Amino acid sequence: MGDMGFEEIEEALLAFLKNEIFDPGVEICAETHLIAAGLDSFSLLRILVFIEKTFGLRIPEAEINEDRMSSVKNMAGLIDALQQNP
Amino acid sequence: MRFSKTHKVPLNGADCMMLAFDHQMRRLGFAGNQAQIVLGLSGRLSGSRLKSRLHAIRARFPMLAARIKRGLRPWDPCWHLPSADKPAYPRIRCHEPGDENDLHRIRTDILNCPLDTCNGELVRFDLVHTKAGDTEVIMTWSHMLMDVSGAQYLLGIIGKSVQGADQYTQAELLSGSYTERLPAGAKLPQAGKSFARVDELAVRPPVSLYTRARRSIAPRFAYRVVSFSPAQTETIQGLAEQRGGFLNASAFYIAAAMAQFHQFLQARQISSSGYVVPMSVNLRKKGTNLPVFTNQAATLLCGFAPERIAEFDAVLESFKQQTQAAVRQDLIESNTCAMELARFIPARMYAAKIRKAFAGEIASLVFANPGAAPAFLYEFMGHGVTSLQHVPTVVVPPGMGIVFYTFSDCLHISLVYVESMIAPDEAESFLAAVGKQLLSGQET
Repeated sequence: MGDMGFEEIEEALLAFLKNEIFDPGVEICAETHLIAAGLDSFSLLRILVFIEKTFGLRIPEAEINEDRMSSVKNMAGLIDALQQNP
Repeated sequence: MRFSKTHKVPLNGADCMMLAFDHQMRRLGFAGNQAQIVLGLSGRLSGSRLKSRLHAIRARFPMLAARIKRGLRPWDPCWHLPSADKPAYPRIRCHEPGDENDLHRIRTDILNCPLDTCNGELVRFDLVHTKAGDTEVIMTWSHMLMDVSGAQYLLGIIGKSVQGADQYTQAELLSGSYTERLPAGAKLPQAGKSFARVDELAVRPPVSLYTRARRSIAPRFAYRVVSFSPAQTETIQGLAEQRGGFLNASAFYIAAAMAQFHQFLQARQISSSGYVVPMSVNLRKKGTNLPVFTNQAATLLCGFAPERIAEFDAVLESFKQQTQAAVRQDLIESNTCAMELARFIPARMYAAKIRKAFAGEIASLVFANPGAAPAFLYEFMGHGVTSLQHVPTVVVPPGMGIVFYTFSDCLHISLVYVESMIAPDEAESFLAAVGKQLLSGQET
């Protein structure tokens, strides 16, 4: 799959989170604090595997932290940056 | 939604696993597969007030006193809901302990008192009124009915601390099961992956303390709880994130528990060719506590080689690799499919398969990390909650389990074990050693 732009990355992540991770009753947008919304360790692992499969990127362990993983916006920013500077 | 007009609610595969464990434990003379949440309340909560509240709750949720029937289709057990005019359960018992020893004895007796599940006793309440004027609310429930997440939410509803507590219907508390998300027709091939994982670990089967000494062991559980201060908890959680990774405190906790368990076996000159720990995964969608009256958990089995079990970093790394591989290989979904198959086989194939593969064992010890107590458990029927403990009985064998959880910014660890398998001072030493390891983040 070719590199996606920032907005496409955000959309793909949001769709995955809404369909696979969160309850339909939880409103998720790009800025939602995912940990406060109930994200747990196995959900995070599922997101990381989704990123690997969808964007062909493995997030470095040092980048898996609260700053990077707390919102879709931050995750999309990280993926975008890694696509440009793998 | 599982609630039907015929007043029957089918058990899912995870419920059936809990039922199988309940049978196994009762067969060995234990009270059964049950668990407790203990809430310490400030002030005195009277039995009559709780009774009145439970009467209303019981009328809304007949599941609290349902009975399992297999009927003409023994492979498909169902809860049969009682009529509203039979309010025998849940029971409330009140206790007035004389001193600390008496309190300890009462708590242990409550843990070992079986629920009359055949007649619909799935939940029981014990109120312990202390001399200081405070109350302990002990909710004991059968694991066949619900998991810890469901039990916490039920307590929130009873305690009126959950938003809309009096609006929920039973149908709502049953909706959203993982079974609705399982791919149709893919159960058998998917389940195969889960069985393959058992076979992989069976090359190095675990050894539990129970099996080695079962002939001299009385069927009774005891437990010890160790608590850390907020400052110690912050240190441990900081180290857990640094060493185990973000949102992965379980890796840190498991590494500490396994290293100490290994030392425990060594002290008794018991060698184990492998160490196996079941890791529970909550299958609910995130951001919801529903469904309540059901088990919504898959089990991932993690295995550790004895040569490196005492090396903290090696266990941490191995755990991380195994959980990542499990997600990549869809082992969580595979396990749910395997459990669903267990519904259809009276021999409870899944549990039997593991025990057969592991030479009679199922794990080295049981591990659970329910995490931080939800905000709604800080109040119960208008009383502030000053403490919370999780005390599950543990499937036998192994008959030993360790639970990590936080309440009020403090980490607590409950060690539950078959009473005569471990001496009280050994249990204290075990917990002290785990605590020391967590605080240092290194081998001790």
